[in-house]
Amino acid sequence: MRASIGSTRCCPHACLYPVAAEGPHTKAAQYRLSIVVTWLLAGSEPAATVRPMRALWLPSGPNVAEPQAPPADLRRVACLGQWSLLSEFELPACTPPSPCSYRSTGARRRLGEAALLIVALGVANDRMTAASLWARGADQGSEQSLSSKCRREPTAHRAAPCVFPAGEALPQETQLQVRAEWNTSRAVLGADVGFVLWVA
Amino acid sequence: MLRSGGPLFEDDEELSLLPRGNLSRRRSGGGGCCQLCRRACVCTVRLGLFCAAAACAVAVALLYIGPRSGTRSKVHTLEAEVLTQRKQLQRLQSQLARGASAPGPNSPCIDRWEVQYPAELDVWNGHSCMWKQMWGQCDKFARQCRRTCGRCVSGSEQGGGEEQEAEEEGEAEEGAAESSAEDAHQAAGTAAVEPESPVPKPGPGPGADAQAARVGGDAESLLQALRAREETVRLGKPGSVLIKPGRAVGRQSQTDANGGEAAQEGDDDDDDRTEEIDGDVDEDEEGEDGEDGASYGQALSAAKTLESARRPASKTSAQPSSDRQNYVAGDSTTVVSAGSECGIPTQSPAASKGLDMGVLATKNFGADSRSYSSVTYLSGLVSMQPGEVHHYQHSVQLPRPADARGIQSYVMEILEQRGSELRPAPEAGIHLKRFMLQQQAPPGSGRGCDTQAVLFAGEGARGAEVTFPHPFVVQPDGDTWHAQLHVVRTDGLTIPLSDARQCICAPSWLETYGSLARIWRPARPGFCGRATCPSALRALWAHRHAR
Repeated sequence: MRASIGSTRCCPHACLYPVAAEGPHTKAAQYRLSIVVTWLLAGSEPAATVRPMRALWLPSGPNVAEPQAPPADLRRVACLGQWSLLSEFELPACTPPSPCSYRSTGARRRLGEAALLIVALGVANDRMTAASLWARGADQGSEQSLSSKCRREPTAHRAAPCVFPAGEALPQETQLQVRAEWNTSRAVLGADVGFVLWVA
Repeated sequence: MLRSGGPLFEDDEELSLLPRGNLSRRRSGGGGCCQLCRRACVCTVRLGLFCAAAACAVAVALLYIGPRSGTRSKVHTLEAEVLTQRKQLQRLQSQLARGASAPGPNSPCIDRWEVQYPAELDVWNGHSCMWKQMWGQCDKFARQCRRTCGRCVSGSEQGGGEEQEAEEEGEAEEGAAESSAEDAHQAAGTAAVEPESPVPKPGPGPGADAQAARVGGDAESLLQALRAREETVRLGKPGSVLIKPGRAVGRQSQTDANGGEAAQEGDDDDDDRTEEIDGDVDEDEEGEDGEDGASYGQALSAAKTLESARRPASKTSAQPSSDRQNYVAGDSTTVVSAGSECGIPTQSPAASKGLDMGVLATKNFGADSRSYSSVTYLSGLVSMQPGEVHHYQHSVQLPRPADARGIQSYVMEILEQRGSELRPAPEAGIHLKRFMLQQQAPPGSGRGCDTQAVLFAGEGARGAEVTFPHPFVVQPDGDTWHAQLHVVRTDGLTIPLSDARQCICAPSWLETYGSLARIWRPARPGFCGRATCPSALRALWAHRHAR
């Protein structure tokens, strides 16, 4: 994920794909973006009860993005939990008889302070078959799948948010990791998958 | 390869242009003749091949050149220029309205560059405050970009007066295209704008009735303004696109009464939370579609021509990757080549305005002894041709309701507008790569990352509602968000849909498709697809695609 456009690995603004000369889809179409936001208003309860969250980006896959990040990106990196935003990667198409599936694992990200995981939203890819979020304690002990707790593991066509109503306690030094499975019968290009986490 | 016969065919790709029969004959030619006869046969075959290839090349060249030549091309070029100027004028007016709307004793709070160089508002290698702010260069360009950089604070700041202005003028002159400046002053002279906030806040009070009434009234005035602007655009009177009192252009395109229907559709689960704004749009926008489609190719070529003329000859496409790296790094002096469809920004800036958001509807309600306000924000129209990729990145305003404590949930959707209908766009027609709203703490503000607000919807998350359990909220600090939208229009493609859903402008894709895109581009809007391409091109396409 990049905060700025300009990835050399990803389709830029002015890209144009070949299209058919004839057919039902040869003219411009008009679109609008809609966002429905539900705001909590000041009500009967004191303001102190509201707990603001911050966001983290937890990517999957090898971090092979461009080595030199623009300064603006670096600032944004610092403001998303100090975890890297430059997380695009590619996977080559399988060559028979090798299997056409692949499992990518992101780097383990260590929490510098204890946090309460509230929502994990999967970021999918058309060639991804599944993704899961894992946590390992500071003692390097057993791992647990956080995404399976809410039974909302993202797939290519559906990335429903994984909500922890009471919050999932993540002690300090917890290591988080995203694992994804891919169908590599065709090459994966410029993939950028993982979880956006909201923690308190 | 036929090296000995001359440089007719350089590699296997061009060999694939030949009919298979010719290839087999070439390989077996002369087998039963004497040496002299064999040489003669080979020469004959080569000559024949050469003639055939030359004839194909001429035919393709005629197809390429024919539609572009003559008066029609000039007319389209002029049309494109008029369209461009019209858009520039509209943008200028919108910016002026926004800038003049800032409250306080130092009003108006504007970016000087916006007035001086309206044609470069979002041109990354021009006088663009948006880009300066994005690249973290506000300290250097604070005086030219006071509004964008948030420097319209103290009264003393403006006290610099003419001395400061003179200095700014001097700086602004550097590297500026003179024609752009002239256009800017002319346009500024025609923009009679009354100060008004382009995106007013929803109702001030917590009362549901009062707030709904106010929003309803705004929607009606917005609808009228929208109709007026569309009528003006349709009539082709750029000089008359003046902002009427009480209606800012920036807002006119932000809302549509029909959006209520769509917004409600996109929010089926919350049908008791969102209210619908009554009203219909009488005017069909099909006419605009046709106009856009007819001038699209010419607009591109005209813009490219202009862009090329402004660029130094020393910087060409010879170093696309380094140019792009520099561009990514925020080097606003970097020049990249025109005509590259993928991998390099062309005449269009890498990010553009176009996502100005307006409040369409607001619904207050109570649940669990708490009060909520569900606000539907709707963007202006985004027009996309088949095969286009749009990437917007700029600031947007999402006005908060009064007394808002934080965001409890959000859902993002892409709607398609057909005439007066506004419905969720088909998944196969447009692909969301990423949508993000983010608030960033300004440098030196003392705010940490803990207060950062992020709303996100990536691939597969279109229409998915993200709900934060109470008492957890996303707590924005202000109404200004940094928006990023990356979408691909995926219907009508001649490549597999799943390919277009990848970021396939990587070097490997460029090698495969890039040159073909350049070959096909001139035929647009009669874009040469697989069904209509000359057989030789189809063979080349198939060969490269299979590789």
